[in-house]
Amino acid sequence: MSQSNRASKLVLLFLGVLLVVFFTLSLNRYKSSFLSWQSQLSDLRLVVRELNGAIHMVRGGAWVDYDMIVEKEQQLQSLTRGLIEHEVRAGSQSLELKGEWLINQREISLPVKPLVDTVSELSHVIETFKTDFSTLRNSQFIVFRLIDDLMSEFANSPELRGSLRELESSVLHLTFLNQRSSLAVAREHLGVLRESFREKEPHLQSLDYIESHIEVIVTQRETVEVIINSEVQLQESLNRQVGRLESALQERYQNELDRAGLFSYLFFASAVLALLFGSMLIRKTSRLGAQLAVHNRNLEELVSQRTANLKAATDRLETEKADREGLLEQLAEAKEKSEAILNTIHGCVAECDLKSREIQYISNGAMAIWGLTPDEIKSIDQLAERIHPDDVPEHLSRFATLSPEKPVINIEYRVNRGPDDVIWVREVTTASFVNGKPRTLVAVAVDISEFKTASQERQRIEEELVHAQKLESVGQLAAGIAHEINTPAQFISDNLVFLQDAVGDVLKLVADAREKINAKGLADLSSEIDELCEDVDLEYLEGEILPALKQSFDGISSIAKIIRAMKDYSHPGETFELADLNKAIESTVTISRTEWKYFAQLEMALDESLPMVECVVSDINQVVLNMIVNAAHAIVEKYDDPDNLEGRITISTGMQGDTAVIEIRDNGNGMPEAVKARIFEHFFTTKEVGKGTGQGLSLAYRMVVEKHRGKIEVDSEMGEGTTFRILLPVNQPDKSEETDVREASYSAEFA
Amino acid sequence: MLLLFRDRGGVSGLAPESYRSPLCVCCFLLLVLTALFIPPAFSDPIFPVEYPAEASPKEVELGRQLFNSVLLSADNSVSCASCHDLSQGGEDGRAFSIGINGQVGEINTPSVLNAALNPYQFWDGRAVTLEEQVAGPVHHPKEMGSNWEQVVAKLTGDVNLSAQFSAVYGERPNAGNIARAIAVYEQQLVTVDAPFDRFLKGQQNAISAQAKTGYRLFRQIGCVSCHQGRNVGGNMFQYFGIMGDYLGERGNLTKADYGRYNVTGRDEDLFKFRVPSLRNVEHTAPYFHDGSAETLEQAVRVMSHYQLGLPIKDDEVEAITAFLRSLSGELVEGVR
Repeated sequence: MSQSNRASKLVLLFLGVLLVVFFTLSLNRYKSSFLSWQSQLSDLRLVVRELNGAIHMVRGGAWVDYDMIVEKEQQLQSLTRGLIEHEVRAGSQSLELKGEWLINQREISLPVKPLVDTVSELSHVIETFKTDFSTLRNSQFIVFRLIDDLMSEFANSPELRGSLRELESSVLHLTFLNQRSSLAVAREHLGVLRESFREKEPHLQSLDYIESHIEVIVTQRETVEVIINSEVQLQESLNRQVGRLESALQERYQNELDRAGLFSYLFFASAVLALLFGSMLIRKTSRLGAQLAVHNRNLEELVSQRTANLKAATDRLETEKADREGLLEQLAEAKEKSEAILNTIHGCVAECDLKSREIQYISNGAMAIWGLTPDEIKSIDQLAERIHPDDVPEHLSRFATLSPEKPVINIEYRVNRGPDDVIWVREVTTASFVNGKPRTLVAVAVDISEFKTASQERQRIEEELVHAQKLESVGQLAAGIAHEINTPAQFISDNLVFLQDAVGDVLKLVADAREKINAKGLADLSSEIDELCEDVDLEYLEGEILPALKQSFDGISSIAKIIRAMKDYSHPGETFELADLNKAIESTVTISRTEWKYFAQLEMALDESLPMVECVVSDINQVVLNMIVNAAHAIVEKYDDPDNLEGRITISTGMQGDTAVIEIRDNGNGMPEAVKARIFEHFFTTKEVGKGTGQGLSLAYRMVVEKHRGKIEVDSEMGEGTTFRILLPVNQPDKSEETDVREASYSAEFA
Repeated sequence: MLLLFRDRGGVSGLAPESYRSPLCVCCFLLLVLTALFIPPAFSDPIFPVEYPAEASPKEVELGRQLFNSVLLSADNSVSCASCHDLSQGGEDGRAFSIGINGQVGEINTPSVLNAALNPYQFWDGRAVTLEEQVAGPVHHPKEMGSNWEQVVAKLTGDVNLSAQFSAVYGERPNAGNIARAIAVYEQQLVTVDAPFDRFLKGQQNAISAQAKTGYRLFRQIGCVSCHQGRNVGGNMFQYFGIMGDYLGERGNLTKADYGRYNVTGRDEDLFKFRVPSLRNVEHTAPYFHDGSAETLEQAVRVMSHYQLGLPIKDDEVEAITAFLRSLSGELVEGVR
């Protein structure tokens, strides 16, 4: 009995440890493979883009050598080889599914074959490009050199020179303007020249050369065009294929994460099983205790009856005593071991009596889940207090569903382990029933915060994507609408100006006419006209028409201003160019009016002497907009009375050495140090779920600090307000150096 | 400058409609005429050779011994160095080299010097890396006529060499590490400090005035369209006989004359060859894949007529050859 008990305990312990190991490992098995695929694919994209750039540099004439193309092509080839090796590794491992697969990192398999084919097709196309482009380039030049040589040879013969010039111009048309009709013209001139060069062998040979160069130009130009087209198509298809592989990869990894989630369920199930075994063990040992007591009593009786005369009986008694001690020892040991098992489980196991609401047992995991040591926990209410208030109703309703038919529930909820320390917990509870009423509960609780945050983050990214797409379409729409409105607004305002003048003139005419009639003494006519004027209330009209027109004019001007601001704001382009920051800020403020005008007053103190700053102006617009919106939100939190307009947002600009500074100050509620330290983190937000994405400031940081090599400084005091300072270098030193030096020297020499 | 204008013209030709007006045509003519009188000045299409990267001296030494070892050939008569003589510009000065049993090869031996700078090996580019290249001559029946099995057995039997293999690679000779050792050695075989490279680096008197004229012509008449980059060629394929049928006029076509077609099987690759590097070209006569040009001057004339379609004067040929002779560099100390 004791032997088999120990063995089963050991087996249980082993199983528990194995499960924990398996659980942890299965989570990360594909991670490194996923990351390395991902980096290989993104490298591939990059190299394809660089290769394209190199081809354009050669085609544009900036580089005469092909070394850069060759280098990029070699990189492309070696990346492709890397993909194939990766795929081969992935293929071979699935064949040897032996014991090791549990622990080893595993590879994700992707269909790279089409991609590899496209790359080799692309290499071939680039090969032909190099060949054919060289030929075309030479012919396009040599043909003029030949004509030029002939011209200088016949400097004294105007007739021949004329012919040659005609020939040159037709070849020019053919070469640079791609006029096919010039081919016939060129041939005609060649014929004429051939006639006049009869019996002059070297000159005829030159003409032969010229003719073959023209042929080459005509055919090679088309060939190169075709090559470039197919190169572009291959590149596009390559990018598409990379995209497909990337999404397949993403999907695979997602599946793996989901599977890991499934494993966690399995883990809970096995933890419950382990618990059941454990409680069975405890029960068994208590039964052993009862048996021992009976045995003891019997022994004592026996002793009292036979002490005096039965020596043999005393001997037996001695042995029985020894047995009893052994049993007691085993009992203690069994209890200790079963507790050890329960304490090794990653999570917290508890048993409680529902009648007295006392916790009868709780494992050492309590600290990790509830933030309390097992000794501190006396009552189930202590635990209930720590459940997040938002989750309590669901918790209670789920407990209500417990019944003898369905004694197990599986719930997830948040636990306030301490101040600012909230974790997600998954709990599996098994109830035992007496007379149809739940009597005791056995619960296993496990910390699942990691899963939760991962899935929440995914959800956020998706929301953010949808948001970004919306913004993009709104932006496009805005640009379109702005254009549509602008035209009618323009003529409305022109017409209003015209009407203002015209109405003034007409009114003056009426007044003059009446005066003249009065002066001439035509009393009848005058009183009749007075009556007519009275009918239409001319005096009132005179007073109102001009102000009405003035108001309309003001209105249309402010419409025009908003439209201009919209156009400026949605200014496309990702390139660094010199921009007027003041203008950018003004249009952003106009655009964002609805965000702040109900809660705050906005003041601008813009430095008129601010120089033009080299930046991507749409990025800066975006950053300033984010800051204004944040300021407005901070103000709303502090002043909930909308009519007071106590909120102030102040935007100022200025220079600090070589750096332009944009300062956005609000008198909202500020933020604590803990928040301030994290505001630039991705996805960090203090706003409610669905309101803020936690992207605004991290985006601002990326744009200003990483892209523009600037700085963002934050001052904030609780209850006083927050000041953001955006520092932008006026010139982007490194950016301009990055543009290729060879190109720069080339254009300098061209100039 | 002319080259430059030509390229620009090519680009603007993409939007022909906007250039059709007579005014624009006049502007173009004006530009062409201006361009004719401006001296050529644009970024150099050729770059100096850099010193080879440091390599393990033991590995290089093993590679050197293998390169000179006759054990790589079937009858122990030929080594790599038999045809790639480092003292003769990395080849042997014959139109076709002599392999085992006195057999004559099918194609002119390309120089081993600066082969490491080429993205393709062989005239038809059938090997991409130096390692891949090594297997070619070893297996060719008319060259070394051997195979890896045989070579590995002979090298394993050589006490000295097999000891070096274990010292360098910790394993016995095999196809992989033999090719690797030779490739590592060949990577050291680049020629640096050619007079022209020194000129490129700013040393104005490193080459003669005639060579400078030659360099200008080399760019002006279009040689540089194919012979460009660090290795002055070697990084692309081109038809032999663009403006005239050189091979047809020579006659007796062999399989070797098909060029890259033998590798890809694509029709457009027929008669296409790797553009050879012009570094050390004065030492690698005779020229072309068939060794059909005896002298540098002759080769320049053939190129001018068949590739560029341009009559060339004697003084121009002399200037260009003077330039080509300035491309000869030195091997790095201690490699030979």
